[in-house]
Amino acid sequence: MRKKNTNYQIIFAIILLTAFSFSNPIYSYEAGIPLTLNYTAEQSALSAVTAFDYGINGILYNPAIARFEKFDRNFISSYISLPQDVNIYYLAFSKEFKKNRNARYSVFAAGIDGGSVKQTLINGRDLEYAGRSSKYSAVQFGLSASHKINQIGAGINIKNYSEKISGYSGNVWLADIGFLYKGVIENLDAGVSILNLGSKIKLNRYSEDITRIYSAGLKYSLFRFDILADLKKTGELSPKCSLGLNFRFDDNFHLMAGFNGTKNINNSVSFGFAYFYNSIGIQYAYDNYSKIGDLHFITLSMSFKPVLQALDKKTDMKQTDIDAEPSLDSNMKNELKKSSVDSATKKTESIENENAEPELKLDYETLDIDLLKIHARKSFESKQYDLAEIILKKIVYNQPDDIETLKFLGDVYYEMKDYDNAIKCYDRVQKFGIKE
Amino acid sequence: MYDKKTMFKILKISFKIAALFIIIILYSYQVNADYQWIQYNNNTGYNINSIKFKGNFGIMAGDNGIIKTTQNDGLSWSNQNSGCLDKLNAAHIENVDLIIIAGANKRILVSQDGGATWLNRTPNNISSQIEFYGVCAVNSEIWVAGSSSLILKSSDYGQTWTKQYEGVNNIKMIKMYPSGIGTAMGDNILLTTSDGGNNWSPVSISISNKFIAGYCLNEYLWFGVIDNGDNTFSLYQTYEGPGKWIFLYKFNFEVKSICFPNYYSGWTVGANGNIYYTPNNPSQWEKINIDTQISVNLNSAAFSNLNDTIWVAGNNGYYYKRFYNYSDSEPEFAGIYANAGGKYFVLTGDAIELTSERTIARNKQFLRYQWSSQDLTVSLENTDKIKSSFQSSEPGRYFVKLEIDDYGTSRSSDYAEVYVFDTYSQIYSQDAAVSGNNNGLILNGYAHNIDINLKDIPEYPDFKSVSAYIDLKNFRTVPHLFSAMKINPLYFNSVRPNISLFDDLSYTIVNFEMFDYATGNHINELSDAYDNLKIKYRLPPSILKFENRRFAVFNYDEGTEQWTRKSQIFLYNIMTGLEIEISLNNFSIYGLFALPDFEKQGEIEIFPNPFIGGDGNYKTGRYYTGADDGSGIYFSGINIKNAKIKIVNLAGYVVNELVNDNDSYFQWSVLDKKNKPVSSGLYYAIIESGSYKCVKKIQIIR
Repeated sequence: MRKKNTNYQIIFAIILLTAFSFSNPIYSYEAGIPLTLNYTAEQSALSAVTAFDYGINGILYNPAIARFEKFDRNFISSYISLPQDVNIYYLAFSKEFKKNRNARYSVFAAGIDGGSVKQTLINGRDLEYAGRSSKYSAVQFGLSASHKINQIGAGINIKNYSEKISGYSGNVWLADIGFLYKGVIENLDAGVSILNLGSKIKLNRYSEDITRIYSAGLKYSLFRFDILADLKKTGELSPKCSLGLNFRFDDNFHLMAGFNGTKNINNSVSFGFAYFYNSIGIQYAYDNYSKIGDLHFITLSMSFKPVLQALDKKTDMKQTDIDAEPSLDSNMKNELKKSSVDSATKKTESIENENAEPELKLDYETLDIDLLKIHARKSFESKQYDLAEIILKKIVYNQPDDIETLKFLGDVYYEMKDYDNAIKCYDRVQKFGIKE
Repeated sequence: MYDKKTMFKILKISFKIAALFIIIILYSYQVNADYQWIQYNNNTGYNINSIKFKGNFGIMAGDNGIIKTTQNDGLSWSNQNSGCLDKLNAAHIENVDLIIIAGANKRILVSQDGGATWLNRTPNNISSQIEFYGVCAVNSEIWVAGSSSLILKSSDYGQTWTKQYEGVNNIKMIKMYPSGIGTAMGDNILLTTSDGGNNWSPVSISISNKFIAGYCLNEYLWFGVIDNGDNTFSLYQTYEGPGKWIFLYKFNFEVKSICFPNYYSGWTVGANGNIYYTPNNPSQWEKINIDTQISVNLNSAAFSNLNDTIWVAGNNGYYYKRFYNYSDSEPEFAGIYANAGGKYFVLTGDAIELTSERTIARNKQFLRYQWSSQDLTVSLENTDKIKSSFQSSEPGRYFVKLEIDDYGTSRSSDYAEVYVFDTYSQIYSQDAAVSGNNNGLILNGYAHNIDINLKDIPEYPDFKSVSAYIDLKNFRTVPHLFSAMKINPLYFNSVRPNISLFDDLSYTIVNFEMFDYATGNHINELSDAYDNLKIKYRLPPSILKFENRRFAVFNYDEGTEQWTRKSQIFLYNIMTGLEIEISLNNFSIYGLFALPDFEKQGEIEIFPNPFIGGDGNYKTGRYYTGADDGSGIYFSGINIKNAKIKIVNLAGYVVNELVNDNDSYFQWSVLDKKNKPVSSGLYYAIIESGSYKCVKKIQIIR
């Protein structure tokens, strides 16, 4: 019943934010405009991504988001074609820390090749050809780190930005910071980020301020939709609102559309799609700069890990998580959805409450429990306790009476020094023993 | 519905999110908070009449004897005991050991300890009705000026005073320089001195001298605000000495104070909270809003902390400060590129005006010019003006030196090259025609030939048909002006980029004045007799810079001040050169011009691109000066007429939208919609004119 109620607060907030987007801009951009561009197709198609928890896509717009990578992707690469022979390239590699799976690090690099212009000079008031070309390029590279504590993630980028125009170049060190709060209320995430903190860049005579971006965003999930809203202040512009809509057509295919309130060359609407197949994902977005021309964004992402590791689906999976889980086939997802809808409160109760029989039993043919146990054992022996925990919880979820696995999970918790959960597991084993 | 607990949680979280939004937005504005006006009040409610700074040390003086000082750039102010309740009008900080304040009731206060204690240095031997409005000091010498045109000087820190001048007017401002040059301005009075005030001389000027405020930038450049008597107040500035004032701007409020941290950035404050500043040019001012509802009269403005923080003080104890970054608006170029106008051609005995209008400087009106020639046969007039008149009775090639400075450290020089010749004497008769081989045209040291043929026309026995053959076979560097009579330099200014590509080619102007050799009669203004008038140009082969360039003959219409093409377009051939012959209907001014490439393709040209404003090379661009002088970025081409231009950054944001109201070219200031300099980077330009549309990239380096 509750889901039928309208979230008036959210609607009001979105209307309020939208109102900002129709206010006239007060000032203009500052230097370092390439730092304000979209570097992934998803970012371009959705426009409002500050609270969009799709993992390593988000390194450059909210570094906290990287920690919420759902598909365990390690690598992302983009090619963006702007009008007039301007091309953008983006590469990022991301990985969890071995000793702390709640933390993640990334390295990234992005570059703009602005092409060249035929250099012209002014002589008096007359045109004179210099007989050479003048090139434009800009590069940024850096390190990103993100960490999650409970529902809140925080991230920081340290990056170097350089710009080169006609032989004049300058560079500057900058920082981005971001936060993501998942589950502010049910189905609602909130994120904030401040990008391009740092000093000035000097190409020639003047030291120029870099365009900073202050952004706060919300993501609200409703059925198969993610509704996104960002309030963004770019440089000296007045705050603007951007909106995005992500439609999860099915498990692997997403359709995206966005309204970019900052861009004013045209109606600012962009759209695209994302397709995931196992560990590989491809995204495409289309945007345009009115009469200047079209923009095409192509982003590839992939995981270097075995698919198995993508089973990072906690027992408290939300519906949206299930949808986004590429490693589960459709049947599993449907079943999991049923389970999650009907037993939203079940979560870890399968461990705590022996009487709480899970209503869902997965078809064993689709999930090789024995193979999972082998992997769990291997993970345990290689001291990858986090991974072992995930696998064992998955087994326990589907075989709540598997005492051996329960005890093994208790051992894992013990090794992880999570004594509370270890005791719970051992108690439950003991109760099973008494029962039997 | 949600239960109360959930609702409370939602509300709580909503508040947190809202607070976070507000903090972010506030922080984002805080970054620029220094650019906002910050209001203070001295809590006494008394008017503050003067505020002055020297470095981080500042002082305020006002009604009821209030004095406040700061040692830390205004972070904190201390009340000081003046020992009087008089209205204090003016303050001056020579250094921390000599601070002077003057005001009503002939009050003069001096502090020699950074404003901590004040000594009453009121002179005894003058009327107590005297009110002082101005004060200044040089080292240990002090001058005060006020009502009754009274000027007093003290050389002993105010212990004794010497009367230097007395009259009937109110002197509002006095300024003295170590060189002894000084000025005093006031209501119907303008005095100058060159000997430290021992002798003050009234200056007669052509404008009203009802000065209500003044500011001296240096010994020569003074600003004065004059009450026009109709609630408007005009700003003037001296040029070429204190006797010449030029109008700059008219304010619609009573100006109380004016100051110029540097020549190109001035500030005025006055009645009803008005604050104006000039970001570039003292003849262009913008109103600045103080972010407050209070609209008090503002009496004084001053800069502290290396001229980057402005303080404004006014009535009822209010004072304000704001950080001001000059790099935001100040054009970088502060030097002078003297330009004496290049080459001139004139007949013997005729006068020609040499002009330095093409000189590049931020404000050419306030430069000092000096034309000179070492040749005794040359007569020069107006040698200290922008334009000088040249005359010589002897044919030849003359150099006239032009020296320019800004009364300060910037100076530059250039030479005008004047060719003086006599066409008449060179024409001689040949058979049935009169032909001339004019060896008097001396260009680049080489003689050039012009063959002139005058043929009999039976119907008009008194007149001849004329053809002129201009042979540039001795072309050395570039073709230059060929003239047989005086050329008005104004024509040069009408040469626009859409016609001429080269400075040099733009001077290929021909204007003939013909004479009948046999009789010596002057042949002109009889166009019906010269319907066979022809003119022929020839460019020699092998000039690489002309390869594949197109040329045409243009005619200058003095009425419309436009050049129009009179001939077909001819392509220069590197092997054979170029020869153009056209028939003329009348005597006029003709020129051979190279056509820009864009006319060939209909393309818009943007130059300079990249725009590099600060590299000192004027060919790669100069920061916009407000004049049509080659600063900023130019757009030209046959499609630029009435074009709409959008400048868009890489993020798809329209930085500026421009409309060309000029036929042949458009000059962009490289500023955005808010007149802020566009940041370095890559931009798109969308140019649309009717059905024509093109997109170009512009690179900008600041």
